[in-house]
Amino acid sequence: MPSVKDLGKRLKSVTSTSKITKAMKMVAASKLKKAETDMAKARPFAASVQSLMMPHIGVKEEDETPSTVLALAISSDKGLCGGVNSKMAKEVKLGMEAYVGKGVESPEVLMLGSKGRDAMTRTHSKFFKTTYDEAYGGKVTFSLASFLAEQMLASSADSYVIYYNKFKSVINFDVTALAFKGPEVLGGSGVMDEYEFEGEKEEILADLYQFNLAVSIYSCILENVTSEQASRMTAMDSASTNASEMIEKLQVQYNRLRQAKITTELTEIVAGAESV
Amino acid sequence: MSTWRHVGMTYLKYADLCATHVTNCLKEPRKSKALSSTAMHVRVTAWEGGKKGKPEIVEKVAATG
Repeated sequence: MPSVKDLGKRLKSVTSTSKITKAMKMVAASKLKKAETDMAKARPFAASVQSLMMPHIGVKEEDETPSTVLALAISSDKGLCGGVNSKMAKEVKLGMEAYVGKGVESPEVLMLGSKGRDAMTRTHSKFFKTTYDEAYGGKVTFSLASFLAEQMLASSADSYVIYYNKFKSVINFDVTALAFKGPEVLGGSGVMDEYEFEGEKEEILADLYQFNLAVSIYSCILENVTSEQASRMTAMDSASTNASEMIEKLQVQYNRLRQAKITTELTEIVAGAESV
Repeated sequence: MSTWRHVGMTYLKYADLCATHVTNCLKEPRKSKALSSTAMHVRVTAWEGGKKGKPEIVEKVAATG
């Protein structure tokens, strides 16, 4: 049975935790608004490039299994954001194992964010090619997306996959895998024959491929950041609710114990006075 | 063949360079604001056979003009 002093200490500790989670919820809510605005600005930009490119480079179900796969998994650097990072890591693990099962020779992963890296290090570090962290210190910029796209394209692969959390609403985000065929597919005949090109068609298509990849990565990072903030806000809201419930229970327990102590002391005083 | 392609520059690097030069033509305070959205900082760690290598910092500061 805890003493009144112990319960008082616990109550104080839970109250300060509740204050922290409430403050974190407010911070996440404000960051979510900013992230949502940035994401909304980038979405149509990415959609227009993808609508042009995806019919040619998008991976379809009937396509043959690629012989080499390079995946970029987008996670975050900070925790306390619910299951956003663990879900993503789980999906990447399953995806990589599925590729191995299909006979893909050593699929590789480029991991953005330390939380995703930590979730996979113990069991699936053999898939890592490069990991990136400390990227979220400032604003998410197109330079970062371009750098990651160049890193992806530096390793030739038959298929490139981007794993990220697609933001649907504040309480709904899904891990999505966006897969592209390698740039060689644009060299085939009949690709974008309906357009006239000023200059070498192959060169322009190769540039478009790079640009599409960078824009897609940029958009996916912004979607992931928004999902992370939304998940953090929800997680902190639940933590604050749990803390409030706990405070309520502890307060009742504390009051009862305190009252019992006072009653015992009073009884002792009365008994002592009577015996005199 | 374009000069930038001839020197081995990728399209993304070329586009980034062009964007930086255009941004540098802006007047203050728009210039600083626009340049801040081109900065990046990332710690890159290469992995070999499931083992972590030595991390490297890749940085692009805002004022690259």
